[in-house]
Amino acid sequence: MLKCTLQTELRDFSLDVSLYCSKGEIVVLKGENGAGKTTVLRIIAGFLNPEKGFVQLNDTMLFDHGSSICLPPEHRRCAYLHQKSTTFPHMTVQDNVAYGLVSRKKPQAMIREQVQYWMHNLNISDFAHIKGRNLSGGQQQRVALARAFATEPDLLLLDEPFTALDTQTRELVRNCVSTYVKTHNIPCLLVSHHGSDIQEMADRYYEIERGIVIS
Amino acid sequence: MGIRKTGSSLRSPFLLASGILTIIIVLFFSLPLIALFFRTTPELLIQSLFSPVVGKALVISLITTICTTILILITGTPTAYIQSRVNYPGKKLVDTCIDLPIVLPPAVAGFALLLMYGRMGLLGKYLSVFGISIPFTTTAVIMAQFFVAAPLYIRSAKALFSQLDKNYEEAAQTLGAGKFRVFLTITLPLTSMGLLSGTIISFARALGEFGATIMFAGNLPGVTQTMPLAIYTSMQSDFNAAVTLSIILIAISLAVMLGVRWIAGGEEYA
Repeated sequence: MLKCTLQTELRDFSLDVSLYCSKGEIVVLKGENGAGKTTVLRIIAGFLNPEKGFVQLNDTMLFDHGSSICLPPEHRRCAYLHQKSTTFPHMTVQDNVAYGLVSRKKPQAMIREQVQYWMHNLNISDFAHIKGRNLSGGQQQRVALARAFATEPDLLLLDEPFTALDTQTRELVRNCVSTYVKTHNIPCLLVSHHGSDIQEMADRYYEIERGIVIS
Repeated sequence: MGIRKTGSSLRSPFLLASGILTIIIVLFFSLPLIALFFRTTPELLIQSLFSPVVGKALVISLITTICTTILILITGTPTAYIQSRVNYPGKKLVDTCIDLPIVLPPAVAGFALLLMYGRMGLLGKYLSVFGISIPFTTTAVIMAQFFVAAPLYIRSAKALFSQLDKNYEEAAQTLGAGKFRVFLTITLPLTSMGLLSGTIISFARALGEFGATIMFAGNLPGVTQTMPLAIYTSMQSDFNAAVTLSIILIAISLAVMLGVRWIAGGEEYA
C-alpha cells in the first residue's frame, strides 16, 4: 500500500496533498494542466523532494522529512511511465526490456526468461532486435511497459502514458496495466485527464486543483 | 519545368550583391591555401616529407595532440557533466573560468602558464625544489594545448548533456540503475556522436596550437617543436619543409572538417 503526505512550495502555489493507494488498486489523479499531478508522481518516484511530508510504500519509508529518510529513485522499486515513451533509442527492444533486470544484477537465465515472457505478453517479440529509435510511438510505449513490468515493481506510476497512442494500442496497453496491477497486487497511480481512462480503469480518483485535493 | 521557390533568384539586387560578396570571401579563404600547392611539386613534397625537421615535428605534434585529446576526454567529460547537472554556489564562476581560455589570446595563455609553472613561477619555484621543471619540455606542449583546446570540448559536451532528454536518465534510474550506470549506458551513448565531434574539434585546435606553445614550451626540435612551430622556423631556412608541413596540416584540417560534417549528418538521420 502507498501512503503519502506531501507539502512543498511550487512556483505559483503550494502543493499540499495526502493520498493513499491500496494493493491491486488503480487510483487516478485528475485535474487541469499544471495542477501539480505530475509533481506528486515525481516526488513519489524520488526525482523531487518535498519540503515536508512522507512517502511510505508497504513497510518501507521512501521519504520522511522528519527522520531525514530519502531513498534514491533506483532503490524505490517504483516503475514510472512517462507520457512520451522513454524507450532507449540506442538499444534493441530486447536490451531495453532486460535493462532493469541487468541493473538489478539478476541471473542471466532469469533475465532471458523474463525478457522473452514480457516481450511475448506485450506483443513485441517480432521487434526484439530492432533499435528503440526505429519503433512507432505505440510500439515504444509497449516496450517501456514491458521493461517496467519485467523488474516486478512494488508501485506503478503512470504519467498520461496513453495520450500519444492510437485507439487500438491504447486499449491493449490499458488492459495490460489493469491485468498487471490486479494479478501482481500492487498499487498504481495514474495521472490522466481523459474521462475514458477514469471510467475504464480507475477504482478511485483524486481531483487536484492548484496543489490541493478537491474531491 | 517544376515549381520553384520564389525569392531565391539572383535577379534581386540585394541577393546579387550578397552573392558577389560570398564569392570574394570564398576566394579570400581558398586562394592562399591554393598558393601553397603552387610552391611545391610532388617530388619536392615527397622529398621534404622525409626531412628530419618535418619528421620530428610530425611525431611531436601527433604524440602531444593525442595525449592532450585523451586527457581532455578523461577530465573534460565528467567536468562537463557536473557543470550541466549539478547546481552549486559559484557555478557561474567555474563556468567562466572554463570558458576564459577560449577568448584569451594564446600568447597570454602561454605567458600565464610560464608565470605559474616556470622556474620562478608561483608553483614552479616549489616544483623546482623537487627537481621538477615543466617549461620547455614535451609536457609543457601538452599543457599549453590542453589550456587552449579543453574548453572547446567541455563547452560542447556541457551543451550536449544539458540538451539530452532527462526522461531517459530518469527511466533508467527507476529501473534500478545507479548514477554511474545511467551515465555509462544512457548519457554517454545518447551523446556520443556530439562528443566525438567535440573531440575532433579540440584535437584540431590542439594540433594547430602555436602562441601558448612557443611562450611556455619553446621551440626545441624533437622536444617541443610541433608542426606550426616548425613551419615558423622553416620559413627562414627550409622553405620546402614549411610548405610540406602546411600541406599536411591543411590535409588534417580538411579531414577533421569532413569528419565533423559526416558525424553531424549521421546524427541528423540517426
